[in-house]
Amino acid sequence: MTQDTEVLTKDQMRADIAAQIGVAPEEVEAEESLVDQGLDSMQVMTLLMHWGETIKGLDFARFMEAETLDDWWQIAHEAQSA
Amino acid sequence: MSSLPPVPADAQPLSEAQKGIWYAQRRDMGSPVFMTGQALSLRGPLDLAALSAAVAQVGAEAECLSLRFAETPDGPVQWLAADGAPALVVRDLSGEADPEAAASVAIKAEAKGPVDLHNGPVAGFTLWVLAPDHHILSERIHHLAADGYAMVLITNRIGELYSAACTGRAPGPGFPPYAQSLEAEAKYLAAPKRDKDRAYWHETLATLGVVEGMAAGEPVSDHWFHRAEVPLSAAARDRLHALAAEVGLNWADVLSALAGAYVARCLPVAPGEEDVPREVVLGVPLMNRMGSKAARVPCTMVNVLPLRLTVREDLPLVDWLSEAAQGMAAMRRHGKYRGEALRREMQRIGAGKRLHGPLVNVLPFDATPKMAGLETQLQILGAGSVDDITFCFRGDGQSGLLVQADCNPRLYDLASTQAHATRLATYLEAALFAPDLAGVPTLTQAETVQHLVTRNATGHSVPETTLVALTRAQIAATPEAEALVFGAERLTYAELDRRSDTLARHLAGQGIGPGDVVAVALPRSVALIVALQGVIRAGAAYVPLDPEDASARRADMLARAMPKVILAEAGFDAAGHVAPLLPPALWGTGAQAEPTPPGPHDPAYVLFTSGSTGTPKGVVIEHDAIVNRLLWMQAEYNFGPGDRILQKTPATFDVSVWEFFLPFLSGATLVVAPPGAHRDPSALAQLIRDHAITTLHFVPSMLALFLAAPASQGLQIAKVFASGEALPAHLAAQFHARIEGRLHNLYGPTEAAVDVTYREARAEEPGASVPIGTPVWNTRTYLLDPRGRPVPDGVAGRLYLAGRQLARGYLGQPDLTAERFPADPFVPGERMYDTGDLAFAAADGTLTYIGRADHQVKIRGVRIELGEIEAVLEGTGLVAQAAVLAPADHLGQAQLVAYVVPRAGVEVAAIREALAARLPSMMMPAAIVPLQAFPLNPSGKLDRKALPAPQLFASAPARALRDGTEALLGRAYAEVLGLPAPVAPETDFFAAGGDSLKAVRLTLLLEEELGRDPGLGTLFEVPVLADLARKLDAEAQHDDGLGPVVHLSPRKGDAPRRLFAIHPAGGIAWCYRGLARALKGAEVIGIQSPLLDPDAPLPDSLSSLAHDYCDRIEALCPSGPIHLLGWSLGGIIAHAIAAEAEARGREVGQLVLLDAYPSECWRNEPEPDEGAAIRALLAIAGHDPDAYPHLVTRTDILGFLRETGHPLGQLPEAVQHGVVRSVQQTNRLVRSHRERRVVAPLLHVHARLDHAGTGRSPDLWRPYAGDVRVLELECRHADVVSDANALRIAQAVRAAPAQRRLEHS
Repeated sequence: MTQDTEVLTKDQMRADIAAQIGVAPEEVEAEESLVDQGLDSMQVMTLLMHWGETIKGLDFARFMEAETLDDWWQIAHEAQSA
Repeated sequence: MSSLPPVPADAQPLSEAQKGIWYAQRRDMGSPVFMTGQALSLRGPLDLAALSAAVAQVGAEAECLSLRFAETPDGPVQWLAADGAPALVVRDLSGEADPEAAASVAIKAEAKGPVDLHNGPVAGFTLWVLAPDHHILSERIHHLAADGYAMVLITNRIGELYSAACTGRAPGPGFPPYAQSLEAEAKYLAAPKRDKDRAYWHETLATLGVVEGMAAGEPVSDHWFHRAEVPLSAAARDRLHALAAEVGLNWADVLSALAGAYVARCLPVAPGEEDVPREVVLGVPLMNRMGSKAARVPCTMVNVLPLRLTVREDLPLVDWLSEAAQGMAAMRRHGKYRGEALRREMQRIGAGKRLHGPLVNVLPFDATPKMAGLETQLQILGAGSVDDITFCFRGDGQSGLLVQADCNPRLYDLASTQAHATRLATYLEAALFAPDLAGVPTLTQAETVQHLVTRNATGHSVPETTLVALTRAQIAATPEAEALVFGAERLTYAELDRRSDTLARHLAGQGIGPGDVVAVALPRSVALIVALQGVIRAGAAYVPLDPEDASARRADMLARAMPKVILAEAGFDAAGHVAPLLPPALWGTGAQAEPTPPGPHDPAYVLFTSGSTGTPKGVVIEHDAIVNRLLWMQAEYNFGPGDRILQKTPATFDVSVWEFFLPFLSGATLVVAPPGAHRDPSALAQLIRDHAITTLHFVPSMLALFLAAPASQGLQIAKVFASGEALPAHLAAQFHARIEGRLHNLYGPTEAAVDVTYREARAEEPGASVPIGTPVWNTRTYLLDPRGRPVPDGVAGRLYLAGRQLARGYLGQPDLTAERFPADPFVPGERMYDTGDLAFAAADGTLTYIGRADHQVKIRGVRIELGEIEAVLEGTGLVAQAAVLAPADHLGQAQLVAYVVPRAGVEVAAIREALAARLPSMMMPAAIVPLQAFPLNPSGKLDRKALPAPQLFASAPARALRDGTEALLGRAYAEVLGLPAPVAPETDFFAAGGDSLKAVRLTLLLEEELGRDPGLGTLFEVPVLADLARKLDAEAQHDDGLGPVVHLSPRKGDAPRRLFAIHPAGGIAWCYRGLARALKGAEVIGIQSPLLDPDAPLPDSLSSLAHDYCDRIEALCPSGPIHLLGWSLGGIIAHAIAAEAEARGREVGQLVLLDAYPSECWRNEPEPDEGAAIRALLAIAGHDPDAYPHLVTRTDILGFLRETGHPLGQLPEAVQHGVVRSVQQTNRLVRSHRERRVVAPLLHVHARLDHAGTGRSPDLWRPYAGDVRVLELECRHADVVSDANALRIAQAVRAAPAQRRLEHS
């Protein structure tokens, strides 16, 4: 999972997702549906709880509505820029 | 006029998820089971205003709470009603003695209340005040509007809004609009991904076989469900997380997989698949929200998909869990594809066509909302329908985990619901720590003890002795008693003793003694009884042979049994066997010797049963075993002097053993039926009467024939025993209806001394067949799965027997004996017998027989190994391959069908001939079907399911549709399914392309045709045309249309305008059928007289009658205006009801009097005498009585009505009396009646051709009504209700009274 850093990068997100669904990070398609790639709701909750420790005020609901890694990164990026 | 608000033009079709729920709800509109509900306990100071505001706010934000639904010709639709969400209702229970208990009851009652989907609201929020600092917020939302996740969203939002109001902090954003959920679905429907998902599912399910449930019966939701909950221990929770981490899976998947493994333990095993890892098909609800714009929309999205899970109990647990998790991940990747669509596409709709078995649902998130200043606690009341069983795991797994079983009460009782929850929790606690699943017991420790020990505590002291010793003791006690009757012959005990000894001494003189076998091949006769007694007295065992069966089988048996002597009539064909033949005429004529009596462990008899290897096998029973059986029977059923037992069972069938020997050790008399009599019900009944028989035995199929014979009616038989086949419950009921006596169901294989379990069969037995009961003395029964583990109650297991009655084994077949009599794993040093029968146990341990675990069948009670016939077929040398099946024929009876691949040039006739020489007639196939090659399954084995339907059925011409209901259904199926011609009787609606929408259309069509709603549920249960016709006819007979309320037009699920049509003098309201048909759009309900029931008390006035009718009408029409109509005297009653209704404050909408005149017109007329009342039947039947002056007597008139085919002529006599009584009494009441004035306007239909010069005119009603309008018809009184006038009247009735525009002519 993420190192003990203050920021969450897109690569780190990709790596964390890959670990959850049991594939290599480069196999995670950024523009494909994460559900279709095998991510289930429990794994999403695990990821969000973890990322929530790094980024305060992460809006879980927006993650649930978003479909792809690109979408997720957009949300995480905005939250960290705010 | 009460009517529904119109459906808005912008109403939307339902989503796929909603359609599934809609059609399920549509099957049973009143059922509350689709309400999801929960109760939130709030402790602490509550700000009521803040909560009220929060509920109001959530009502505005969660649009689903304003949804409304309706059925339209294009299918069901939904729309949002303005301000359609419910407001918070406050109910104060703090004044109750026990507010918590009162709230619990009230909340449950509220949860089970139905909702009005058309008028709304579809949800409700109630705050129950228990104490100043204790409240409960109950929430209920129809599943069409919200799923479990939506409920969580809404509840949390209420908590958030409440907390914001209390703390002054701003709440987060509200919910996205409802439309977003429909857009998300539309997006998926158009996406290429959907095609991929569809392909995945079709491939995954292509090989799906019949999906079994854990309980017998169809999974059709009841109105509510049973629930049981058991918490999982902290140790198990820790282990769950450790195991999940170890395997790299999420713990929810681990739980789901293990729950599936438990389900597998509760499913029946298909014959031949004992060694195959079992597959279960779970239903898995997926939230179906992630990654979609619908994620946070309160709506119903949940999607139940089938998960095929193969349970490999021998794999290391971690390996198997990984494998299982892969299947779950694959399912989720294709989880947007709707289960409802799959059901349709895979043709998994209707009886016996499940898409999946039990549901397994893991809800890992804590759904309890936080509310400022309050301690909250959540209770889930309902989460939608429970079709079968739903296993739910609630909790985050860390702080707690609840195992919950919700069960359909139609399939499971509360006790079995509790047992499943407890057993699953126990199973999980063990499985989580086990290296693999094979060693995990299915039962809890307590259940194991109960099953193996408590239920088998049958120990009873029985002396170690022999049939010979017991019989000699009885002879000594009652030497002069009548022992034996055969035709005109009668033997006392002393005479039987003498003749038996003579034979025994003769046999001993031939060197026969203990350990020897003597064959007995005699027809029923005194000689047969003496032969059996003589053989056992000589110390030998008898082996009975059928004197009529000279097939090759006899040679086999003789070769195996190696009898030293054959007791048979001269000329017996011993098939080359060398043993001397000793015919009865020669008994006592040869060398004599003192016999050596047998010991308790010497064989008493050897019985041959069908053997799968092609030759029969000889079962050796010792004296000690059969003595236990007979002494138990004597004690259990109190046999003694005075009992007269009929011997009618062939000696080759083990039931005969107790018939032969029980009488002589209990002092009873044995009456031997003449040969052949056992097949003739009339001869049997005569025999029973002539000989005052107190006891006899039937194989159930013979009992059915016997009970069907008129001669069996009214017989008195104290003890009737049934065994040999499952005893159908309806047969037991029939027995008690015809015969005075008790019926006992016994069960047991030849290998365990005749019978090992017993149970009395009463008139009302709940299941399809009478249970086989519980074990007899010194006997144990075990129900085990293929790995030898005891199975739970209600689950089919293989029945094993142990104890004193077990056979020694098979004669000369030690290997087979070892195989079928393995060591008893539960009692060291003992053996058990593998019956190959399947049975299940009820909660009280009572066993019920289900069928065979192998390919053995019973034909008319006789055990037959299909393998034996197959081996014989192959032995003829005429066929290359043979397979014998025993499918049920159209009457449900098993029939032997042989499939063969004949060798070149061999005709079927030749095969049949060869077979007949080798098999007794009972083993001859009813059909021999030649095939070029056998169909094989992928593993290369014979694919039995792919064998063609046998000639037996195909040679019969395909039946045409019968007239009446079948013909009607044939047309209706074709119309709805879009087929050019009426379909065949065997058409399955769903298999022929019917889906839910078409099913609704079909029921609507049938409503129009039949005048009543057959019910969508009925169609789902019996989709096959001929079955449905039968069911509808049976129901029609049940509803004889003579009840107090008769539906004259199709019942509507929603609430259309109802018109109540009041019966005329005769009490029956059928005369309004034509009018009801013409009045489309209104529901016409006939009100009929209680006087049709001969036991009903006479009303004292017309007003009190009207009062009762008004009660009935109010019950059917609780609000809105009441519409009434009545013909003739029925008009007077309708007017009286209108007066009563107005007095009650009800508005009377329409009051239509069909040629009725106020009671004053009749006051001075003579009351009709019985003759006149009888002639009134003519008028009631639609005839003008004056046209038939010659019809005077009741017989004349009823005969005339029957001839003309009028249903009145077909009525039971009591009802015909009722009609006459109603005519007289109604006339009497009218004469003392005085009209009150009603406010409502009145429509009078005037038959102008009658009443001339009588002064009867519509104007007579003016003093008694708000207004009188008249429809003039050029007809006579009797013709007002004819079809010809129905349209005219309907037109006038339809014109609303408010419009004040009635037609005059």
